[in-house]
Amino acid sequence: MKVFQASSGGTRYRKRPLFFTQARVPEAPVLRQAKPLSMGATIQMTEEEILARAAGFTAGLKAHPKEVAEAIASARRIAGAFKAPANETAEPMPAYAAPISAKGSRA
Amino acid sequence: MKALHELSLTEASAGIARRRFSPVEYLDALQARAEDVGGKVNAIVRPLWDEARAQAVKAGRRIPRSGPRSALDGLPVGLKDIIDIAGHPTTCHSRILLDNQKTADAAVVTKLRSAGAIFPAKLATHEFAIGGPAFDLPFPPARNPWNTAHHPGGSSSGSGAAVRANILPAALGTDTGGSVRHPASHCGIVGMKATYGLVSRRGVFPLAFTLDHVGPMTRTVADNALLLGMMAGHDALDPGSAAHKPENYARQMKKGLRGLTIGYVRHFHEKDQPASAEMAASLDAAAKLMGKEGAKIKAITLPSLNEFAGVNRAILMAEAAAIHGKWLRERPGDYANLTLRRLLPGLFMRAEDYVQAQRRRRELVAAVEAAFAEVDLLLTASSMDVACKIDDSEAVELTYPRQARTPFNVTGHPALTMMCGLSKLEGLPLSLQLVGPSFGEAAIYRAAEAYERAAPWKGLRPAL
Repeated sequence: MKVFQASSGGTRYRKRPLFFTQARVPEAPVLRQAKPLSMGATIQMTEEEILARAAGFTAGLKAHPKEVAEAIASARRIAGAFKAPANETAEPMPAYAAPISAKGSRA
Repeated sequence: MKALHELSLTEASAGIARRRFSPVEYLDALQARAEDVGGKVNAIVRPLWDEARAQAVKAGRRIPRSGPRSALDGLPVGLKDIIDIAGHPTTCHSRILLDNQKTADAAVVTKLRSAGAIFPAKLATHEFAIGGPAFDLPFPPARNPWNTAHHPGGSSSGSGAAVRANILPAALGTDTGGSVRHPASHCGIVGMKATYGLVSRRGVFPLAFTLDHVGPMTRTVADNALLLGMMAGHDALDPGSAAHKPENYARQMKKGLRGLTIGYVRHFHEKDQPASAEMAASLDAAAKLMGKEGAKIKAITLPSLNEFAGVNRAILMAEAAAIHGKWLRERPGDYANLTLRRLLPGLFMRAEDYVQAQRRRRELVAAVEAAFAEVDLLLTASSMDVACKIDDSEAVELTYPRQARTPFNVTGHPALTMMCGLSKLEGLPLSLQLVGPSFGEAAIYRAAEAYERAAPWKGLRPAL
């Protein structure tokens, strides 16, 4: 199981058993503690716990841990399932269009 | 002579106009059919026969006095239970919305009602049009009329089952990743996902705003063109509605296939998602028949099916999560487990991935548009396999990715699926898909009607 450690400075990704070493998965979200911990204090969280918390799904994780793990894997697969667009500055669909002012508008 | 419940929309319309039977007699025959076979296919989640009967009585008085409002006057149309009808709940086949009482009709229902249509039933769907055939919901899943042990396709499963079981001559479905065309393919009927924005989605529970379509499901091509003509039209209150005037979509019918160039996209079912041998052979046979009827058949290559599917999933997941996020967080246990598993990935998608998918989507649209510079229509597979057993969860999971329908939700082009044979082993429908340029529905119906006329499948029906 992948393990994350959260410290007062934020959460860093660890791969068991190498606690207290540098992260290697850049997309893992940083977890901010609601209550600041004292310097050096740590808590351990799994990848699922961190991502579920970032998604606001902490309570759901307890009841549906298998589904959350599957969903995280699925989301990563989906993101990698199509080619990166050729032009990274191209306008995505659908383009925003300014609203047409209604008749009688003062605009 | 056909029994009343076997009549198509156009046949019933003609029968009423010639006073061979009344709208009430026709509706009563359908209700009797529903009582006879409805329990086998579980298509209806909320019967509205009494209300429909009152409307049929009014139509029966009105038509002899002042003529029909339209060819649909007094005729019944079923509604997938994510489409609002005033005075009844829209449950989305979910316990979350069992009390979701609606006070107004969806825009498409308003249009059909003004044409004289009546609405005798709300029909089964996959939960929120995404779940799958689940057994832990307030209503049972619909079943395939050709063999009730099999999946009818989804998510407009009740619409497909009701139409093919001759409980209703027509129904509305919705299509975000193929959900009109999947049940149409598995049930052996005609399903159309028209150009994005041609039919208003106002009053229809959304799944993914930029992919959602409402579409007609019927037993014949002519019926489908008739129904779409009554549904289409600009709706200023639907932000995705196209500023396109409704047309007579049947106007090119009977012109035949001569003069049309049809691009046959073989790599979808030969390389990208290899189809069963029988499905592939039926598609080749359909292409051959279209060629014999006068169409020029040309090989066309599009981006891989997996590219389209990836973009569809990324967009669908992210948009659906923005709709279901609150319920997913507060009451995840109220969804069927299958629905929960389908929706949850959206909570873990990154915003960047959604935007990249929408950007890649523009490139995929351009690729399909380029194909339409060379051909009038595209012929592709719809499903890669016939309907699987409904209680085989592994096979059910496979039925959703093994298809070629999502490309045209991504691009918004109109696409119709119809029967192109019966499997020898299971006796279940085989299917094809015809795709047109944006707002090219009339040309699709022209080709579909010519194929329907030339092929021997039209008279086939399940022995329920």
